[in-house]
Order: sequence, then structure tokens, then C-alpha cells
Amino acid sequence: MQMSGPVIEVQGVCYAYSRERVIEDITLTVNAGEFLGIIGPNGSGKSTLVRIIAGLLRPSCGKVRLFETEIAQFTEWRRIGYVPQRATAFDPRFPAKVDEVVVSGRAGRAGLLRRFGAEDRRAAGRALEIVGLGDAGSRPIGHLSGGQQQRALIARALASEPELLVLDEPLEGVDTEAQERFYDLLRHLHADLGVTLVMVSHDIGVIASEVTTLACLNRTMVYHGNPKEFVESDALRVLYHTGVRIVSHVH
Amino acid sequence: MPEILQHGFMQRALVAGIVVAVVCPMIGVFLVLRRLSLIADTLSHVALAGIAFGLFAGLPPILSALVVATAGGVGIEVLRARGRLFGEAALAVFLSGGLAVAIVLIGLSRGFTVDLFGYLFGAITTVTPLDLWVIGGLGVAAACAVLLFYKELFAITFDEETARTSGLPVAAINLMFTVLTALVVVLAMRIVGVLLVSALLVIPTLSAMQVAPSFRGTLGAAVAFAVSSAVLGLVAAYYLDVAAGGAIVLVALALLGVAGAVGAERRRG
Repeated sequence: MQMSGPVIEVQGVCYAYSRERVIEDITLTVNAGEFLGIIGPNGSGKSTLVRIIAGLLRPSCGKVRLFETEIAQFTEWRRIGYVPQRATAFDPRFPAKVDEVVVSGRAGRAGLLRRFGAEDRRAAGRALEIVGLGDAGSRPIGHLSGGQQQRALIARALASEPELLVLDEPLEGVDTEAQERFYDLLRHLHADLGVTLVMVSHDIGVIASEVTTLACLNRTMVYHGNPKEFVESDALRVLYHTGVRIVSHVH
Repeated sequence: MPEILQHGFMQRALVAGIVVAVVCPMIGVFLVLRRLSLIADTLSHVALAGIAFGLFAGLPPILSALVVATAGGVGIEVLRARGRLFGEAALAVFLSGGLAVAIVLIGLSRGFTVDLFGYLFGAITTVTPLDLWVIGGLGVAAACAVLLFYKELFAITFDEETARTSGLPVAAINLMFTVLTALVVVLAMRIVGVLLVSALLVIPTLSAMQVAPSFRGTLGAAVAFAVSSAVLGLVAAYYLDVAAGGAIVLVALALLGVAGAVGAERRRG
């Protein structure tokens, strides 16, 4: 999958719940092949930003373009895979097999009034292979471990063969061992399959060593640039302990 | 031919019962898994207002019930989609509102009549050939709609938010599903009555969840449980001379007990 050009363009975006602005004046571009990590304290608006990018929230001001199309006109949602927090995504007692969940990721791509066909099932099977759950297809989703459930949700997102994967705190409630396996998977998707990644996390230490670009939010953009420079800078301590807003802005 | 099948009214009752038993859990599975079980109960009380209006105004009660229940369902769905439903409180408002309108209209007309009792407690044995056509036609239409939108309904039921990000027209499908729910509630009302409608949607679903590991299996098992309940309940009602609506729901509950025991045994083993 070779691409170039901007995948996400966010320009002067703000969002307000009733009258309180949770994010303000966010500008950011994600190019094809990038791996962007979004971090920030609780309530910093990082989830709000990815929910705007995924089309779940409409920004109160500013512009968003996906694959060089205004988000309001954008229809090729199959090019974007969304992975929610496992804990809030579904009830583990939901009666469904892993296969059924994964192939449902192609519902939008397959089109209305069409049943899933052989190609849909093949794509779902490939997605399960990629996340290492190739032999778990016929198991009930609730019988998988937390880490496996999270990988099944990634497989569902991958089933539509997206070019961009947006992950909203996917590691909430997933144990450390499973997290390592999870990062292996992300590296494989990014390096070998060329998928552009945007991931929200609050595990700064780990994510800074994985991503190509880091965005740090605290209502406004506090830092956007190279992850190594961020770690070496004073930004972390300042952000999490004294809450000073603008520290640096490197492009 | 066994005695029970020699009567025209029992033949019609069985056919109507089976149609309604097939279509109720097809809606019920999605409602239960979306934690919207109470919507069925709410809509049946709203539909009662429609019945009362029909009897009051001299219109066909099924028709007025359909219109009023659909309107109520759309109202509830709009509130739900905007996140204005505070827990189940808004459902309680619709439920008591529907009942209140019904009671006032009943008082304004001639009070409680045989017709009205039929809708409250079910009157499956009074199904006319015309009723049968209406129930059959609408029932088949509802079942087809669920099958046509099966993959979208599954995606939305499993995870509504992610379904939205994949470009599905979630709002439109939810609205269609609400209309189907209102339709099925009105059909079921004729069989088990307003007060027991939600039982036919919810109980077979819960039974199926005890024994089926997949979603498709749950849907199939729920239909099987509901059809068994309807047939066994009607036969029991005929031979024991008890109310059919109550008998059907009691059989459904007994099957839930059996399914629960089988499920628990399987988890242990």
C-alpha cells in the first residue's frame, strides 16, 4: 500500500460541549505512512480530537479534511478503520463469534441490501491472521482474554482494508504482556503493511518510543513534532505537574 | 386430524401465533442486546392509546394503534439518539403517558368493552380471516426487513459508535428499526395482549442467549423458543381451558428455566 500526501488535515479546530471548550485551535497534518501518537492528561481533549477525525463529532469551528476531501463531503469511510476502547465498545456477554464481529467491519464497505460474500469472509480471515487470531474465529467473543478482544476489534477495523487506523486508547484495561504483543502488531501494520496510524494513549513512556510523530494536547496543542525531542525536553514535567500550557511547538 | 385442528378459529390462532412468534424475537434479539427491552413494553402502552382512540372514533383499532405506536417509537428514538433519554425515565414518561391517554379515551367512550379486554389480555382465538391476512402480510414484511438489513443491524447492535465510523447510515436504520418494533408490538398485541407483549420479544431472546454461542444461532434459537411457546401455549390453553396469552408466556418462561439449566450445565462441563 503506497501512498503520499496528507491523510488528515485539521485546521484551527475547536470543540465545545455546551459552552465549555474542550479543545481549541488545533492544527495538525498527518501524512501517509506516519504514526502519530496523541497524548495528554485526562480531560485534555485527546479523545475528542480523534472522535472528530473519525466523524463521530462535528467540530464547533475549524476545518477537517480526510484524504484531501472536506469531512462533510467525505464518503469513503472504508479507508478509515476505527478502534474504540475495548472496555466501552461492547458487552463481553454479547452472543457473537469472533468471525461475526470481524466481518461486521465490512458492513459499510459491502453496501446496503447486500449479504456478505466470499470476498468479505476472506478479508475478515486475513485480518484475523494479521492480528494473530487465525484460529479463534469460531470462538465466542466473550471467551477471549482482554488482549485478544482488543486484537479482534483491530481485526474488525482491518477487515475493510483501511489505509488509516484510528485507535482511541486501545490499551485501557489490557495487561502488560498483551500490550507488548499489541505494539508488535502495530509495528507490523505500520512498517510492513504501510498503514497510517493515529493512536491516543496516556502511556507516554511506551508510545514515545513507537511513534514517528507525537502530539501533546492540553486543550490546546502543547507540542507537535519529534517524539525524542519531546522526551528530552522539559515539556512532560511541566505539563503534568504544573499545567503550564505552551512549552514548545516544533515542526 | 386431532380435535384441536378441526376448528377454524384454532387453525387461525395457530397460524397467527406462529407468524407473530417468528417475527417477535427477530426484533427482540436486537432490542435486548441494545438494552432497549423496555421499549417494547412502552410502545405497547402507547399503542393502547391508539386502540382506545380507534374504538372512540370508530376507526379500525389496529390501524390507529399502528399510527400512534409508530409516532411514539419515533419520538423515543429521536430522544435516544440525541442522548436526552436519562436512563429509562423517558420510557416511563411515554409508558404512563400512553396509558393515561388510553384511560381518558376509554372513559369518554363506553368504558371497558369486550374489544378492549381483547387488546389488554390478548384474544388470539378471535382472529378473523381478515386479521390473519393483516398479521401475515405485516409479519412477513417485518421479517424480510430484518433479514435484508441483518448485517447493518448486527454492526449497530454490537457497537453503534464504530458502526457510525464505518459510514453506515445509522440514524436511518435506527429509525426503520423503531418503526418495525412498533409494527411487531401491534401484531403481538392481538396474540398475547398489551400487558404481555414485551414477554414475546424478550423471553425467547434470553432463552436463546443461554444456549447459542453465535449471533446467528441466537436469532435462530430465539425464533424456535418463541414458536414452541406459542404452539404449546395454545394447545395447553385449548385443553386446559385457560387464557391463551398467559399460557403462551408461561410456557416461554418455563423454556427459559430449562435453557438456563442447560446453559449452566454446559458452562460447568
